[in-house]
Amino acid sequence: MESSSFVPPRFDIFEIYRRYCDIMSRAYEFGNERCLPNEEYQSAKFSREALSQLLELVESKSQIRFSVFEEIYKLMMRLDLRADFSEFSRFYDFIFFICRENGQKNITVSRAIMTWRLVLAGRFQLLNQWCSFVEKNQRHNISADTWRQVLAFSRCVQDNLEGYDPEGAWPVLIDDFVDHMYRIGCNDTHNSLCSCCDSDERSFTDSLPGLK
Amino acid sequence: MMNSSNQKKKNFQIEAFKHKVVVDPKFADKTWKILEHAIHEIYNHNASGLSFEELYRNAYNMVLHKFGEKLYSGLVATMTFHLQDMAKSIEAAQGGSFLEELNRKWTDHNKALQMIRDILMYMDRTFIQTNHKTPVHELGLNLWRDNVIHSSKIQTRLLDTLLELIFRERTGEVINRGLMRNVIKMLMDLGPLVYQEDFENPFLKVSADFYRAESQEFIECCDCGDYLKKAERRLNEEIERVSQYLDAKSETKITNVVEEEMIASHMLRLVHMDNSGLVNMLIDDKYEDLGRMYNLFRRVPNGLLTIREVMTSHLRETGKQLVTDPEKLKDPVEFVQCLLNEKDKYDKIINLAFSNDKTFQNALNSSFEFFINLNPRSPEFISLFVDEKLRKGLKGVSEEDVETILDKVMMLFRYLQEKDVFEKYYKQHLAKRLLSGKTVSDDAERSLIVKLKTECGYQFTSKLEGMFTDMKTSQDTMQGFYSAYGAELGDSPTLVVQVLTTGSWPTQSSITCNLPAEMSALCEKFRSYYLGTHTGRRLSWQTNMGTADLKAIFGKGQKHELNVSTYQMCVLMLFNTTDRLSYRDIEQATEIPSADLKRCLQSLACVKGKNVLRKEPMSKDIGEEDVFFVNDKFTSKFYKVKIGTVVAQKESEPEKQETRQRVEEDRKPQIEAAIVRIMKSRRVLDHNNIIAEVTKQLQSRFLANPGEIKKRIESLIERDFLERDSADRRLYRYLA
Repeated sequence: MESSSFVPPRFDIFEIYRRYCDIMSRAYEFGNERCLPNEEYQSAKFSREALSQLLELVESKSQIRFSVFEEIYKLMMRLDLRADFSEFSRFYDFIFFICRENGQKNITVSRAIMTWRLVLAGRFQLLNQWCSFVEKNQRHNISADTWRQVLAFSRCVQDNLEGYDPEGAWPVLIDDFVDHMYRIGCNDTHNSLCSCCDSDERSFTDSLPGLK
Repeated sequence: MMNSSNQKKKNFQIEAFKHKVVVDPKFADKTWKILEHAIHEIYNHNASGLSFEELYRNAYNMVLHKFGEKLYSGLVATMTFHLQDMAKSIEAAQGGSFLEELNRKWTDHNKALQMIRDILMYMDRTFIQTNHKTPVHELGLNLWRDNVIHSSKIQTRLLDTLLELIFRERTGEVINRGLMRNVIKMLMDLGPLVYQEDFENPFLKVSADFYRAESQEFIECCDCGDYLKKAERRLNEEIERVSQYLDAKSETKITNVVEEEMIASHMLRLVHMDNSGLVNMLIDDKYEDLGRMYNLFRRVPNGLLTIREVMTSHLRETGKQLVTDPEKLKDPVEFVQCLLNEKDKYDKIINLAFSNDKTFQNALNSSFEFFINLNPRSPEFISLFVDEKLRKGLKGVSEEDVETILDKVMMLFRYLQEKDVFEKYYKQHLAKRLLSGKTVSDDAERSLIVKLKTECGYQFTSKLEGMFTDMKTSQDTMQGFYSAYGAELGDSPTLVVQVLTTGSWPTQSSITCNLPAEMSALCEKFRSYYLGTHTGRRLSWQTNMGTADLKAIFGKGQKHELNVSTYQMCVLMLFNTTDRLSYRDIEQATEIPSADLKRCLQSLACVKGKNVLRKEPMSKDIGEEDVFFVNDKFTSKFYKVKIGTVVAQKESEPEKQETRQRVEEDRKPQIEAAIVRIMKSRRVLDHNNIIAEVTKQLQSRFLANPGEIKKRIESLIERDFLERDSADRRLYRYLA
């Protein structure tokens, strides 16, 4: 038996989060040190396996599944997310991880919307419009990529959609959302589209190694 | 030097022979007098009495005895004297004789100069070179220039006379070109500067004024074609003038003037002239006028660009009208024929009038590409056109003509952005042709497939070729079947089965209808034969695609052979056992889908001249309560009667949607494959480059929609083929 399957007496959300951070930073270290494509692939495979083991453990040993939103809220209260964006970004990714069900790769629309409303409150100026748009228009589940890109999107657009670049490799759902916003005419200054604020994102990724 | 070391030479000194030359103090004056006299005689046409040898020697001696300067200045003074004399007589010449007099004096002066130079040759070679003086010949020209040409009474008169003569020639008079040539030649001999300043520059200026006024006059009263004719004539006249009596270097200058004044400054007005401009020429195929316009406009900056732009916008406009004309959309064959005619028309114009200019061909191609794709049904229509041609249109047409038609179709095909849509339709139409045995020429069919293959690669046509293979294999299978069972089948109906490979043929969800008993027994035999020779296969009957030939005897004993569809055959066979059948009876007995059944009954009972059935009540449409019976009074002047099925040739709206959807579905894996191919070789690539490369790769088949490409990328990310770079969200990474 590997150490990760050892279950401490208090296997609560904090413990799960701690292990999650552990796996992620180890994967990051791995990827940083060795750059051979094969190694990279190995590292990705390793972390994927570790994460699915953790998820299995969560599903079998803990009860938090039934009250995931409360648990997330508890965790959110405990963590100091205001100060450090990289910490928040990891927490955000963790939410996707914990919300996945039965080994699925994506999460349901309703779950996604609920958690967005919870964790992005005050961080995303178009949160309300976004959630109601997704509720009405998205029938498929939310993929990991879309989930992550929503965070990047929330950081780079203002409430008038300034900062959105139509060529900016956004997921189709986000493109559709922006189209929708233009159509309902929420903004009148969309002529000043500029590329998104790369500097912010840089600082967040650059600061990751410091968290080891 | 070599032998100086071993053999000393005695140095001899030879004393120069000193000959005391006593120079006559009056030597210089005397000698010059002789020479001066000789120059006078030369100018007075009296040179025959002079001795060249004597004069040469005198000149030689003067130079030798350092009197070169005296000789030179004496020459200048004497020549000047004569030239001034000449100028006076030229000035005195009246009217027309002025130029002649000038020319005569010029000839005289030239002859004199020639002799004088010969006499003074020694001075030319030594004194002039060491003292950097002007050589005699040049000196003569300069003196002529300064004393004659630039004399105040001659200079302007000469210019005015020349320009006046040219003006008169331009207005149609005949002038003495020989004299003109001599005088102009004289100016050229005096050096390029004289030619330019005393003639060419004013000439160009006057010409510009002349043509400006003339073009203004022409453009007000002529149509475009006439104007161009006049401009062309003027241009040729000027070129001829230069070759006749001007300096060859003037040609580009004067043609530039004509081009500028007659073409460049009126270019736009000419091109857009009402009722006769470029567009009208294009419409009326005025090859000659168009050719003239091309050749003239080519001479001025942006001339061809102007023609090309007007042609392009006209083409796009008419093309757009053509492909969106609702009348034209009713007949696909006519629609495509119109496109081909339009292409032929412009090919011919470019060939005959625009000297096959590549840039014009490109403009033509891009215009066609632009408007053909404005109509989303173009691929379908082009395929229908081919269908029509390969069904009957090519009967009695020679093989070469068939090739030409097919080549033209391929050219339209090349303009299509959605080649995969064409392929879809082509497959459907080909299937119908093959299965109904309607194709006229197997060679033509194959030739087109080869063309498609060279254009789009083998995967584009592999399914189409599969269809041909199936046809061939089926023939062999049927031969095998009949040689195996022929004897025991006796006089039962003849069965021809075409075994179609699933996937190669357009899939049609079909419900097998109930075949007549004798047929279904035969079919069963075939099934067991086929499955006996090919294990592991499944056969299902596509009764919706078959045909049948029936022998029928009507009421008064009229015999006919009826060519019908399998469905119709099933219906007709029911009447062998009974006289009347209701719609519901037929539906129950045959289990033909109701839409098909209605169409098939409609063509059996409602088409005049082919109504082998009658129905009650008589009406155009089939009702569920109708009753049918055999039309005993059926007559036809033909023994063989072909009963068609009422089918819409073009697709109906829902069918169109369905095809569209199928095309979209088929594109997804192709887009994904392209993305994976690209990412596999590039490993890491940014978003915009992926979109660009995928679009490029798929261009030969269809125009990929960026939104759709994006969706495919997302799907590939979800399936762990790709991932986003963690640092730059616009970069994608390929995961092995």
